[in-house]
Amino acid sequence: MRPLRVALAKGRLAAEAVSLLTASGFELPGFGRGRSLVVPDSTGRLEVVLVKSDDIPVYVEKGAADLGVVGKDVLVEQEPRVYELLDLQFGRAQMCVAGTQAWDPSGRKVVVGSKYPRTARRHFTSLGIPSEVVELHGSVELAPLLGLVDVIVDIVETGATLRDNNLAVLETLFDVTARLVTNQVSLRTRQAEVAEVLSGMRSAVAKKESVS
Amino acid sequence: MSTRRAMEPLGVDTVTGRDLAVLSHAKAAVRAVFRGYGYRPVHTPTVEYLELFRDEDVSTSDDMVKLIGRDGRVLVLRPDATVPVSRLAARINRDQAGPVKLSYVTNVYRWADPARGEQMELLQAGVEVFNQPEPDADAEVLALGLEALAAAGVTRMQVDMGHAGWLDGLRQATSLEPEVWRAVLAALEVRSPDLVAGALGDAPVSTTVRALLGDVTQLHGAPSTVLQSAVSLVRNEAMADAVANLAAVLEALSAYDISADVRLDLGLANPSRYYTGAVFQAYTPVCAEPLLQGGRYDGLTARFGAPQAACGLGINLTRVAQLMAEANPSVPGPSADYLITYTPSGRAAALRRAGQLRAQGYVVETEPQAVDGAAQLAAARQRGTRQVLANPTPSEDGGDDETTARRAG
Repeated sequence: MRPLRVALAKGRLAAEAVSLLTASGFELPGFGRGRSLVVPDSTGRLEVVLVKSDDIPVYVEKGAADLGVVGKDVLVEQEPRVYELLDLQFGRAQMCVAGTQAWDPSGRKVVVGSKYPRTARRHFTSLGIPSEVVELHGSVELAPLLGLVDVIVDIVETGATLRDNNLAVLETLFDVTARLVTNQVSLRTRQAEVAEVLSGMRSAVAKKESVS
Repeated sequence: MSTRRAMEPLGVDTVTGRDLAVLSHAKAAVRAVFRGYGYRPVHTPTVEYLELFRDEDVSTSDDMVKLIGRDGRVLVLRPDATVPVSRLAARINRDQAGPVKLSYVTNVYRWADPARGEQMELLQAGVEVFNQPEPDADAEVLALGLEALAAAGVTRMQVDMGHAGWLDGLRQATSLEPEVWRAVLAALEVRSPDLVAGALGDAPVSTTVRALLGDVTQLHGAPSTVLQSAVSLVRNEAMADAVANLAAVLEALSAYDISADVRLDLGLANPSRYYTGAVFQAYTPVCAEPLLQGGRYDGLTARFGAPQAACGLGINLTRVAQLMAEANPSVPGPSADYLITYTPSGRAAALRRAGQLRAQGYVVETEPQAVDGAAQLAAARQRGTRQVLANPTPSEDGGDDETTARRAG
């Protein structure tokens, strides 16, 4: 069988995930060198593949990857058919409603801009507030400033970007961190390997938490 | 018509050539196994009333493809074959005693998300046996399901088996609120003690119960080990009965020569909640969803008449065919053995010759001779037609054409 395949999001969060894998006993000296998107570990037990964060759920769901490391924001938005195995406790952020302090929410339908349209709609529906969701793909903070939307739903890390654009957090929906996910068939047919990665990462996460 | 309106809707496909050949082979292989075990094929309607399926136990209404009938009643395209087959079994049961073994190969329908490559129309093959409460029936159903998959070409199968009675007994033993229980079930499916703890949260649950649920997450793996551990976790009669039943089913199963790796997973809960006994799913590593799902569902027929013992399974033949097509790219599509071309004066003789060859089982195409003979030959070759005969005449003994006709090309 091919080595266990772990999908990681390209970018700075990949480095954190790799450091957890290294702390779990895998060796990925090839990571970060060259432009290959497939990085095997020296022991041959697994390979890391670099994938756009939004695509990790479908790779795992369809079995093209056995495991994935992906943010809770993406999981909540896409509701993929994957099992969440562990909270890796990095990549911390919060999903928030943000807008100009001046926005008055009473009565009217709210126009919401977001890269997470399903999350946004679900939130306002749960509050019983009629909403119109405008799907955006980047620089979401611009939308309320230019009058395209009333508020935005987006992940907030330090809050600096919001402040720089005179926006404030109006409400927090949930906390976001990176999660380890798998699909039902990998869980069952590669039980021992998945369990090995899971327990290694669980210990690595616990060790990091006890130090910080 | 614009291109857009001429295309198939998302989620359904036109199947031809090699893909259809692979699907047909899988269907035939599976039907032969079902027949060999004495299961009679049945056909149930494609369109049914919504009420037949709208029940928490069966499937969510949202996923069903609905129509409005002339009388204003809501109809659905069959999302499931087990319920209609159970209705039939209830009818048969009124007139006939003894075990009833039925099989089907049929399309089932659900709204699907094409953005995730889901299909709206799936070919499902399955069997159901009624009035046989013994574990022998559960074992037979699983064994024949695995044999059917093997006949269709699937290798390296793994089976996970659980028990609905075990989970029901566990629910009774823990007395959890329905919402908490649902979250715990989801956590048990992932076999994660952390998730179980998370699901329990700060609910008023004793440490004993928390420990029990944590232990249950480990009940997966080799049957003998799991059964031993399960015995030590039994807290009530329902759980004890479930363990005994599982042992009996496995015992019966051992008498069959099956090529799959069978494991127990007592956290396994099949999606449909009408199961009452052993439940099982079969996987192959190259496919991200189970190829086979089934189990015992005693009493479902009660809604149609008398409650009967019932056990069955379904196989996703669409998926099986896709896997086989990927695994065997060189399987040829259907093609003709002969193309017979003829001029107007040679037509009668040529068509008689075609009839003779067809009577021997050959596949014969016929066409009037084209002005551009070379193009006609090239087209035939491209289709995979093996030989071309021009203006052949019938042979006296009706035999093969090797010496009696001129060959062109």
